[in-house]
Amino acid sequence: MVGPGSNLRANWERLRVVRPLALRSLRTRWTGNGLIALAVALSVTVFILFSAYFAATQQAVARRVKPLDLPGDLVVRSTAPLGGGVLTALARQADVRTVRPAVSARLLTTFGETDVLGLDPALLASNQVTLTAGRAPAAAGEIMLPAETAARAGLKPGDVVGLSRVADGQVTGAQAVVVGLGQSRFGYFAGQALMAADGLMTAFALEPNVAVVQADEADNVFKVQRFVENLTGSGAATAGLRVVTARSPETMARSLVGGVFSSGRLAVLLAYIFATLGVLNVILLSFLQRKRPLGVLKALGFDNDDLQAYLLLEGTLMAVIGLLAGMIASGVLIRAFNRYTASSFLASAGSVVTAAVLSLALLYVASWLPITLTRRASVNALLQNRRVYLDSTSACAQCGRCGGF
Amino acid sequence: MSDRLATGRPAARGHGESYGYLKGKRVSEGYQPGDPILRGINLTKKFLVGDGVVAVREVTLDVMPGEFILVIGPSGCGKSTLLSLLGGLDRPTGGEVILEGRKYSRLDENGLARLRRTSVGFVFQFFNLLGDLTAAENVALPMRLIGLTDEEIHRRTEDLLGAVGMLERANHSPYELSGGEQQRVAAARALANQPKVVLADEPTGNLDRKNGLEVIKLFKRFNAERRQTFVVVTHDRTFAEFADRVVHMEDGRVIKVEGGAA
Ligand SMILES: Nc1ncnc2c1ncn2[C@@H]1O[C@H](COP(=O)(O)OP(=O)(O)OP(=O)(O)O)[C@@H](O)[C@H]1O
Ligand SMILES: [Mg+2]
Repeated sequence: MVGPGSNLRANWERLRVVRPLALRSLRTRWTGNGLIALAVALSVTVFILFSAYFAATQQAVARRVKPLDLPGDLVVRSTAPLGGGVLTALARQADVRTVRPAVSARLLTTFGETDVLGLDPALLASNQVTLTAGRAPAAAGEIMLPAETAARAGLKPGDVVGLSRVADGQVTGAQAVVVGLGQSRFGYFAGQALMAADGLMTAFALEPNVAVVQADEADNVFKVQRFVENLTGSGAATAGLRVVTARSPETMARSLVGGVFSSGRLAVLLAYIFATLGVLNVILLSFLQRKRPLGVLKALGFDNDDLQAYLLLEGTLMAVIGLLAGMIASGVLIRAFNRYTASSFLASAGSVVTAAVLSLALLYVASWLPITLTRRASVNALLQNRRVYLDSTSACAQCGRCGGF
Repeated sequence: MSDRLATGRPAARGHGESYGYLKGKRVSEGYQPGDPILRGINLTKKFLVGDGVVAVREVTLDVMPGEFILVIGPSGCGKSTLLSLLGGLDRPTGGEVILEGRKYSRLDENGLARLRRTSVGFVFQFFNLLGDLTAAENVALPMRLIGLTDEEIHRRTEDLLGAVGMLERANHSPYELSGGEQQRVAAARALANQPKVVLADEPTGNLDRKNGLEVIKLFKRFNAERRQTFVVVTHDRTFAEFADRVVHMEDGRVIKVEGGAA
């Protein structure tokens, strides 16, 4: 961080010479330096508090958002029929225990348009269905309606409903008896009417467009998922093939957490930018007040790298003081919030480390200007408290029209 | 900082030896004892303000080892500018400065800083003691920079503060000292690393007659006892009696040199 090209040992010895100077100047200019440390402390506090708040929020949301239930370990869906190839390939896959073809279709009914899911009757067994009346469909020509749909249409078990489907300009129609009202336990297909898969497919000449897959063991779900995804890539499967697992984004309402996070991060980032500007200002002021002593140090033989080490050390000390103060303050606040309010903040080591890195970066960025000005200014300019310029070599710097510092 | 003379913290060794110095012996090409120790050759300094101010015009000045030179002239004639060129505090627009055979134009900023560390001592009109440090720490600072041991620093600080009569006030802040006292501490600091050349810009300018005379006598004593070379800028012609040579400047030029062989 100190002089480019100079070795570690030289820098270490440099630090030993400038350390007492930096410590002393920290003490004598404690008002200005205190302001800098305060700015750092505030931004550290804001950062750690926000992070703790987000961590708590994230956990709370994660607790509330549960993955939606699926009838199997994986559901493979497609907008078009899956085709025998995919089903056979899946059945042959080593890690797959069962593949159950299913079908999902949008049908016109006497009570309006509705999605009907045709499942293997094994998946429609009573333990997979929450019934409010009647029983689960078991054979062709039987349908179970969601309770709300039935209530809206004034239907009850025993009623007959007409179903029809339009495809390629052809209308296919069929009738079904309402045998029960209720919901399947498969949250992913919530709100759909249920029928036996074979009956539904025969009635409307449908091909399976859903496959319910059970893996041989839970650890292999991912392998099967990759297998299906590779099928899509190889072109062996129809376009629009989708694999849904309990971990799929569509089964989790993740977007909510992400939204809270990104806006909070922006606020924290802004806090640091404002803090940097404030610190830059105070550091620049402290440099302007100290041009003469810095010139004296140069006259006594401190070289530019010595002075850079001196100013950086001073900045680092203030960053460390501010960081410690901010850590203590945020610790106290988090404890107080957790104790006296309903909120639960979660402080993490990661956020503290990040705050430390950000604080040091803040001070180094803010120290750049005084360090550069000190390096470039002639000894005389500093000694005589004259204006100094970022570019001291060219004639434009000496004309002074830009003002300098 | 109680009974012992406090000079600050231990410093590293050898930090000052990176430029042309071997164990205190100065290594420089082409310099023979008896040659001028400090040479200003054709020095010109032009400031780019307005139409341009030429503060120093083609000044040539050779300073012999152990000489005591006074530079005298009206305000604004370029005395301070010349002195800062000689001390490497500023770069000339033209010409060359050579200290013990080392050309300033061949040194970068850090090289010049390391040269000042060991070879040039400065005394300023406004004393320029570092307010954060005590008198003793001010004197000790240049020695820390060249990596002397703690004992050596302590011994030399005591010796120097004794020589300028400031030992009792060693642990005082500059703010607690009178102008004359501050200037004596500043002189002790300038002499800390036993520089061959001491450059003083109106060291008596802010002092009353009595204190001013005391400081000049102090310089003269160091000059006589330690064979250190002094170039002193002043307004006060009565100090001429102490000088080996008096250089008169006017309008950026040397118009007359009194005394000495030259
Ligand atoms: N940094 C600078 N920028 C512009 N002009 C300068 C600068 N330094 C000195 N000068 C000009 O150079 C000339 C010589 O200045 P210098 O300070 O060397 O005079 P001096 O002999 O020391 O005067 P004094 O006895 O009043 O201290 C003056 O005219 C001054 O205005
Ligand atoms: Mg002057």
